[in-house]
Amino acid sequence: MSLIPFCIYMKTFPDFIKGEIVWEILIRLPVASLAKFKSVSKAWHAIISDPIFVREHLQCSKQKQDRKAPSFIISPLVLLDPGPPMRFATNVRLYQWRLEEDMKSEAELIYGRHFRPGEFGPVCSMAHCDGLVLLPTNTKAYVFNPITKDAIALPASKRNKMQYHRPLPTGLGFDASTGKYKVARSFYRSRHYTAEVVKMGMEVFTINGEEGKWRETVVDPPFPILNSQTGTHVNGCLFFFIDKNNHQRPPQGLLRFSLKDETFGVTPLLPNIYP
Amino acid sequence: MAAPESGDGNNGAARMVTLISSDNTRFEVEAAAASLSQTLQLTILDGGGGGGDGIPLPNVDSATLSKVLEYCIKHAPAAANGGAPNATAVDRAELERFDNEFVNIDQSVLYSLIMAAHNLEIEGLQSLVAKKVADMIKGKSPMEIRRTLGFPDPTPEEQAEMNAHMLEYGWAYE
Repeated sequence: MSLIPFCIYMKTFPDFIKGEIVWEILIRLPVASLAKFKSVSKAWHAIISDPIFVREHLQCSKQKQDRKAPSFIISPLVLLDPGPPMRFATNVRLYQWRLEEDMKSEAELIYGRHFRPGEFGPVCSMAHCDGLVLLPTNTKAYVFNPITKDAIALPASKRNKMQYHRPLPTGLGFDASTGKYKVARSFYRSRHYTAEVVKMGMEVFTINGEEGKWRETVVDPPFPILNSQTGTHVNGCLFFFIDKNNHQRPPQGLLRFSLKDETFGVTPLLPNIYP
Repeated sequence: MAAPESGDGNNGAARMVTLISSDNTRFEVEAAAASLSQTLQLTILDGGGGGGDGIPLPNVDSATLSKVLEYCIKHAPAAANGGAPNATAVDRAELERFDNEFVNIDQSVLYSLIMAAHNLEIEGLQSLVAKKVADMIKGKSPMEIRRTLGFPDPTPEEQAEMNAHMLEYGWAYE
């Protein structure tokens, strides 16, 4: 008896399994379904893991997102001691809050991860790019994908020479030329602050890249970067405040780091604007 | 031929073309509607499909073709306006209502449509049907998908992989 439906399927579906059509359907699925459907077959796994598919899927989701109410990711930072912000709870919680018309909606917990106490101390504010969330801490930097529930702890690096108890300036952004997400972190080449100019370098970690480790940029930042800040990502560039106390003639502007060329520039600001 | 086709909209009478399904049924439609198909557009621009000739579509049966043409006729005016930048909200809402009802159909019809839309390269219809199938399958388990698509039962190895994946991505199966 079970032969009948089987025959119907055999008659109806073989063509439907054609790659291009499967692609067209999968591209319209939410990320959570894709994570699950990787195990349907090897062919589906290959499509879902294809970098071109990933990029196209992101475009597709962005278009969908544009038609929805804006949504925010909220993460409470819990300070464990009064006084200077030294110890934070290692309990990372990400909530999504959608700005609905009736304003009644509640923030929904979309991701939670409990790190061992002492795993990190002070943290910087989180950064967000296309659904990825960066948490810079004084030890490692973490990248979360709250929808697929993936998390990576970026590897340690020994380039920073200054004993420093707060997070280094770090940013997360998208390099459209390679289709990869990059985390850029600045570090101190000198051991101490001196009357001299503080020398800083920049290292880059490519997420899902081939290297799997931090790579130093060819050129150094032309100006020292203000410590303990999270870079702001706009159009493939990260922007940082310049550390004006450690440079004799600091420019009036923001330091700009291009994720594509991995070069620096200064974006001027109006003279009466902070900083 | 260098002679320009003059019947196109200027004198009011819309140019008609004939399409012939795999089971030899003839459908007469406005050229503008049939031109939603990228595949047909070239033939029609070359002046084909008019008069007694007709364009044979050996891959599309009459039931599917009539459904496809229903979509094309409804969407042709908006497409003629270049994606309808000046369409009113009412027009757009009406198209959306039509689309929602249009894909509210039996699965087998849906799969015939997806193949036809793909072969005829009707972008809007491809996207509409793919979206519908995506909505239908997004809540299913990988095993259900395999059954629906008529894949053979997984080998013990594949089954082990699927189980491991389910453990890792347990949250996605809720």
